Amino acid sequence: MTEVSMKNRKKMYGGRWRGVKEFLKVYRKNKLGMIGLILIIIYVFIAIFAPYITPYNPYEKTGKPFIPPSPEHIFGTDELGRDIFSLTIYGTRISLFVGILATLLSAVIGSAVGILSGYFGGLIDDLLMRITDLFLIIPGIPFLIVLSVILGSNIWNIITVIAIISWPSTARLVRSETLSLKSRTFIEAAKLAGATDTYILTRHILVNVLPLISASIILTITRAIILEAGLSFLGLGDPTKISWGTMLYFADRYGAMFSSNPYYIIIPGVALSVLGLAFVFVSYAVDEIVNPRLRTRRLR
Amino acid sequence: MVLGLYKPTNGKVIYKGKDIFRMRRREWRKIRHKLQMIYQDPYESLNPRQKVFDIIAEPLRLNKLYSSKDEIYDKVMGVMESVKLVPPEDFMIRYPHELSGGQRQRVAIARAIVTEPDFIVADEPVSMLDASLRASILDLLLGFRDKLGVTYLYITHDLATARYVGDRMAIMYLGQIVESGQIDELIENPMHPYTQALISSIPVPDPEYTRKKKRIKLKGEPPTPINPPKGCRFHPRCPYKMDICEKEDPEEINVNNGHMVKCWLHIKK
Repeated sequence: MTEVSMKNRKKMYGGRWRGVKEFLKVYRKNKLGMIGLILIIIYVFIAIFAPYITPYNPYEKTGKPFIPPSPEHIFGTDELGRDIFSLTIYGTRISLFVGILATLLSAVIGSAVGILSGYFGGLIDDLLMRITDLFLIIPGIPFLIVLSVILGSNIWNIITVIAIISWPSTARLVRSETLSLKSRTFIEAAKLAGATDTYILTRHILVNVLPLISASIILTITRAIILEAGLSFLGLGDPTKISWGTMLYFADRYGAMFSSNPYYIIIPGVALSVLGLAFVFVSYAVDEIVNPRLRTRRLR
Repeated sequence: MVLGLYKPTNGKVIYKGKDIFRMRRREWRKIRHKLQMIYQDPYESLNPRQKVFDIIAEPLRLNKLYSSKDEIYDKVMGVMESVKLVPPEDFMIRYPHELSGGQRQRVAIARAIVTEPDFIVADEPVSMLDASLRASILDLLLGFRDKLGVTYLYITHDLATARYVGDRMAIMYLGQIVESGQIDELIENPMHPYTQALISSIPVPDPEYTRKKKRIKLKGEPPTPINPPKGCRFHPRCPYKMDICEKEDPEEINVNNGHMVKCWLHIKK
């Protein structure tokens, strides 16, 4: 009996990824979504293997300043004679790192606020939602600029600042889903079985809002990456780290557009736009699957 | 409320001689698994992200009724077999959306009886199911009544199934019990006008009978329970309304050993 039961227990947990598999099956039919996903995978690959791809160390002077594209430097060099190609490749790392980390941070804050506020309601809900409204109402970019000036230009501060302005939308989303879950009878059934609030929140509510949270993560990443680039372009980025934003900032400052090497501006710009586009494609595809209203429209 | 989820504004819920709302927390924790519930809608009452095994095992785990995983496993297997979810190995790894309505309701019943309760509130457990499935689910419930000695509070508007499962019946109108007693006695000999109307509305599959029968039709809709009518709550729709009905709420009286009615018609002046 015990041996059989052990085997069964394994089988029970084996089906955990079934939902993911079903999701991928639907996702694969979405062409734009697949293009976006492949692009993102390429970017991640580039970020991880940056040292093996780049011909030069991006922090070192490897030629004269502003060399136009040549066999040695395929996209030329910047004002210090550094290789643009290598800089851009390394920039992928920072852009992805900041984007992903800021998004995760904002997802954690947003989900926690949303779930607590939706589940407990009453005074807690009022309080948390007023705070959320406050952050939602503040115009993002000016607030970002002010905050990063106050906190200083350091990569962790940038991550924090981006997370601070992106969590409210997640919180709103999660709260409304929690509200509708809360009134379902299986929550009452769990209470009846003797479940504590913590148990219900983690075992019943969180698992049911998780798909929504992951969809909102993908939406937020796009925003976070663009925000990071925007901040860095305004000169508020971390000057010791290479990101596409800081590259654009220096390119702009040294008048790269009208120098002998306009690729200094074009290449990081293109890299940024394509990554942004890739995430937008993916988020549209995911949205279409997760959002039941869009799904029915597509099936029709 | 009977199961301690909502606090009553007045009145008591007595379990084994004790008011459950006056119990100490620890005491309440010890007995709460003896009081269970089966819900009307098996599509709503099961968490879509839990496997059948976890759904049924949850009350055991939460109440720490068994210490070892093997004991829980064996218990769940046994209960699944007794509600005819066989083979249990097959069903326990499924999610609710992979089951039919009848199977889901069996899971809900399994969940309710797994803690071996004394008392189960069954809120229209068969109203969402096909007529062909109702009898088998009801027989299942009756089987547990006989085997485990469970008491049911069976909430329904379907008098036919009520008679099938019930011993005693209480008819409620606008939140008040208007008539109660042995179920056969109540159906054969209804005293309250509301009960009479209810019983006359049961469809009988016999055209001959239906043509001859005169149905009592009630006028209008039940008023809002937030602001119930003065006097007897049923008076605005009652076909036998008297003057006193508008002014005073009748007392509940015992008409025939345990058959209680709350109506001025039966109160002798």
